[in-house]
Amino acid sequence: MNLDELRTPHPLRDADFAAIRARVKAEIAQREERPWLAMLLRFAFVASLLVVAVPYVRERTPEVPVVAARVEAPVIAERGALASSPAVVAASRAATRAGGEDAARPAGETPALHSEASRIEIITADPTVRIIWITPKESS
Amino acid sequence: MTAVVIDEITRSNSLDSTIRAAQAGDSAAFEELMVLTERRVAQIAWAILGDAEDVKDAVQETFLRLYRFLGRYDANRDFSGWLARITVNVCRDTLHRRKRVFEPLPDMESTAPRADDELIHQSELALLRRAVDSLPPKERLAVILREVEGMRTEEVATALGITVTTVRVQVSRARAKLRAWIERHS
Repeated sequence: MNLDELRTPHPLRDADFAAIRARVKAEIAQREERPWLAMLLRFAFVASLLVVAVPYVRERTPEVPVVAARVEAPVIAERGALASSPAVVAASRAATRAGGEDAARPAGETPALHSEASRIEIITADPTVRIIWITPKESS
Repeated sequence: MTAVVIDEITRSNSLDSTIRAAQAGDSAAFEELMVLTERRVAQIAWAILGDAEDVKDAVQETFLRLYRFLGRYDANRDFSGWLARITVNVCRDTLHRRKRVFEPLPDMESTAPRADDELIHQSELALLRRAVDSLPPKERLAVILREVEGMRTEEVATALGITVTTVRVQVSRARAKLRAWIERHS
């Protein structure tokens, strides 16, 4: 038995085709008369998607743990006029921002100062690198 | 023979100019395009869906999609293949929406008296139709378009959006499955 024996002519008649063409034309005319309707439907679809999706996404987003960051006072031992110069302050701020375990060192543990010299110690992001600037104390 | 070729060329040129006019927004040309292609569309839809009401809806939806996408049609492509592809896609959507109901085998007792061999033939056809319905969707479409509707392999490939080789493979597999199904059920 051949498969082409299954072929049967479609049952639609001329009147059916005429009706289909009329419906197609009416539908096209309706769409062209109201182009804003298509825009409105698209907008409504997007809005409804957002209404459904946003709470769902919020619900699914894991809470980001809040890390209490305590920034210690700038780890810079300063004494004298040099310490208040803008360059040094900026450098010390940058060093503080860079973090590192030394950045959180309590103020009490700052390096000891010489009585005759100002010592500026800048802690960098690299814990193995520390910039120490020793300068003679200005006499008053 | 020459007359037939000339007729084909004339029809093809007429179709091309109608398509161009419809693309330009000529509504009369679009209606003419529907008239030129509606029977072909209906035949493909009928082969796939097998239900007159579904076919009417499918033809209507095909022409609405044709209108929407006509601007994107590339004149270098085969129009009938392109239209067949739209039709097949519409039919696929229809099939997804409804679960196909198998046609019952003809009831031997209640059928009007016929010659025995005619009854047997009808019964075999119904069995074959059920076998085709039992195929996986892709193979079913390939076998319907290629073997039942007699479309060329290239046309089937265009209509289904697959390669010619894939069409051949699917038809070959489908034939093997049909044979096995009929042996089991006859």
